[in-house]
Amino acid sequence: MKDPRIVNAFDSLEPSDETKKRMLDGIMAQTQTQTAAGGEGTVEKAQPRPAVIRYDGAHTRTNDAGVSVPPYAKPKRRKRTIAYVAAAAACLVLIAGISMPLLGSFGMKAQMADSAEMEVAMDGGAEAPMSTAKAEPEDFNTEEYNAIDEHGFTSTASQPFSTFAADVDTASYANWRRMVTQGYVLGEFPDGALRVEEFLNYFDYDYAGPQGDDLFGVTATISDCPWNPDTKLLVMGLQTAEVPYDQAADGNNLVFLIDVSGSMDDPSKLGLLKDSFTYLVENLNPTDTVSIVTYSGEERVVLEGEPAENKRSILRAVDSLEAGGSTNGEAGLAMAYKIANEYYLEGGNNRIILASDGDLNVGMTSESELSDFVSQQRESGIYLSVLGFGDGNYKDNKMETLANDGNGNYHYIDCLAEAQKVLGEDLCSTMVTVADDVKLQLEFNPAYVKGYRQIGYENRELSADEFLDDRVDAGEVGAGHSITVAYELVMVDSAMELFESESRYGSDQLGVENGEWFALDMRWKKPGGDVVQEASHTFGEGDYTTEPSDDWTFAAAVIEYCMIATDSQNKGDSSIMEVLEMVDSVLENGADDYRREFRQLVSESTE
Amino acid sequence: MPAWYSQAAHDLEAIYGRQVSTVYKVCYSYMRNAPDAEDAVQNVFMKAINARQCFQSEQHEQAWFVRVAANHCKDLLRASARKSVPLDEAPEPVDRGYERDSALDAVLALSPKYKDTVYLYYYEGYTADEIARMLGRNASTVRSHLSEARSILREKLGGDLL
Repeated sequence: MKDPRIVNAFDSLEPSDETKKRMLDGIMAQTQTQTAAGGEGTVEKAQPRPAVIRYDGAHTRTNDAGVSVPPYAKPKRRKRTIAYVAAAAACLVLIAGISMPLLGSFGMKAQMADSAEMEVAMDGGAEAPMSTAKAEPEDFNTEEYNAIDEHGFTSTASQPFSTFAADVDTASYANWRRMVTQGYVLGEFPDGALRVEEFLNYFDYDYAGPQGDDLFGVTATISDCPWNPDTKLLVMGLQTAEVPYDQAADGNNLVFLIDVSGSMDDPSKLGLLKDSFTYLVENLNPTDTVSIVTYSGEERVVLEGEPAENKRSILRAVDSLEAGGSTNGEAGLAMAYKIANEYYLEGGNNRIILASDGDLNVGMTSESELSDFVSQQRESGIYLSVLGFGDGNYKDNKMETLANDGNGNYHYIDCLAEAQKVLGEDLCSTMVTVADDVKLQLEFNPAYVKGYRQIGYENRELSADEFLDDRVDAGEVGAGHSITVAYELVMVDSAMELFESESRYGSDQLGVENGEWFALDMRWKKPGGDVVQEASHTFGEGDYTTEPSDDWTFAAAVIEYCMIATDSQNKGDSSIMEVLEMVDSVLENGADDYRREFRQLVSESTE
Repeated sequence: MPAWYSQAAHDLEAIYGRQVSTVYKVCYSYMRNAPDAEDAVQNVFMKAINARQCFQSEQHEQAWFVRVAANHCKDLLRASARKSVPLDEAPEPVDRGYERDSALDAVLALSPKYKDTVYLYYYEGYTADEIARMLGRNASTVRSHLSEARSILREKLGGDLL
């Protein structure tokens, strides 16, 4: 309980209804002044950059007794003004109507409107009917996504192994959030934009950490599949150990490669990037070195080997960046690798962090050339992570390819809160790799499981033989990462019929009834080394439950939503209603803000 | 009507009703008189309208308003300080629209750097870590501000300040 005297002091400042009305009238008058003066009213202009500030999460609340309470629960003493809402509502609709057309003349990029919409609104002047300003999201859009070829069901008899590389990217989720916030609804998301594994991996789960020398703690839950009566849903969580950032590596040599081409000149791109840096510099270790390389028509070294404790010089350097010119990503990348090599820390974390919208229009422009260049460079032990910014011309395909080839992770920054998550809360998993070339292989036992379908990870698929081939590149995993893997399982007693080719030479694919439904094998290398480590786990009846955990239910809801949004051929009985019911059942038990935000975005995307 | 627009109008309908009390209290604690507080409140809402803020929850919405209100008031105070007297020597508030108690006087007399933190901690019940995230500050800065503010308040009000 906080001191009641202070509480009362603030209580006594509660404005009267009259005061509220007077202030509202004042706001009305100001919007009208703006209209009359063509947007140059008496009110200060809104700040130029933070158009994209959006607090999405990261607020876990505890009550006075230190017990967690639902994040959205109001603090006890908070008072709400309800009586006034009705009057305010009517007026604010009007305010909104008056002020919307002014946005263009205020030089502000509206967060939810795409830039094309804004131009139309500006041309139309203050009286432009907003209905004509709406463009279909696709019309002005040159975003690029690689197609996803969704996994179908595989019969265990013909292929008992399911092999893939680990993936810890989350960009697809943040990009979806950006689209929903901009007004996209189901049916409008570009093909290939939604990668279900990146949705699943965006969230935190209550998975057990690793024991002993294991890289991962493994938690598997199997229950009845919500959208298909003939299958079971396996949700498997892999969790690496949390390591505090300052103990994670023998120093960090970070080279920021910042795209300052003309296309980055936008509050949601370079503006947001500059703001994001304020979180980053707060969280770095004083001994980390920070270099900044920019590229537009030509590459430029803005900061070289600056100790991270010199926060001011770093922020000053970032703040001085201005966008303009063409985009020579090739030269920028080459320079960044050169600088990273100059400050190379033996045994430390050497990483380039590319910040861009992915529009690379000079030099190596094709994905395959970029890919080759970066693949060559990763041999030097320098990781390349990617932070994606902006929309309209966003090149998700190029960004993801770069991060994959550069052995780094890939995040999309749609708002400051996401920057705070990626560069603050999750800095360690973003920056510090605990395992290289992580490969996972599930082997199903045909005695119990007659078929399976992996959910997501389509572009991470490996052949069964590549599992043992140590030359094959796979996924990198950071400290404190959770990886969520999901499969639909067709048990032997299922009514579902699978297409099986029978071998004319006969085969002994009956499996053994040893209680094991499937096994998980993992292979990985210690960062920077060539020594391969292995672990395996087996699972069976004991992992099946009719009352699955909240984590399982939430993952099922995320998968079901993605199947609906991508119109998956495997969506079965999926429905938005069921998605919302599952999420709500999880939220009732107290979930974090990220899960609550998912609930809100799902319902927004279906309106 | 575009989807984002009707959504925005719909959001704005509720925002004023939900946040006006909070914004007013924060502004008043800085400006220390009703007329200046009212002007500041109006400017803060104009910022929200013009910046087309998008909020993911009421808590995030409140965080934004507290932060913007506090920053706006600090800007106003700095600007007026440049023109006339230093902040610390600003004249006592003339407005007596409220029944004053010593606790309110003590809060109003605090240096501007403590006020948003004190409001969020004592009145809204957030923890220091939460406040740090809401205001985009270092948690240790918030903690030291809180402890400095607490000792100033304790000195003025006596007793054990909780």
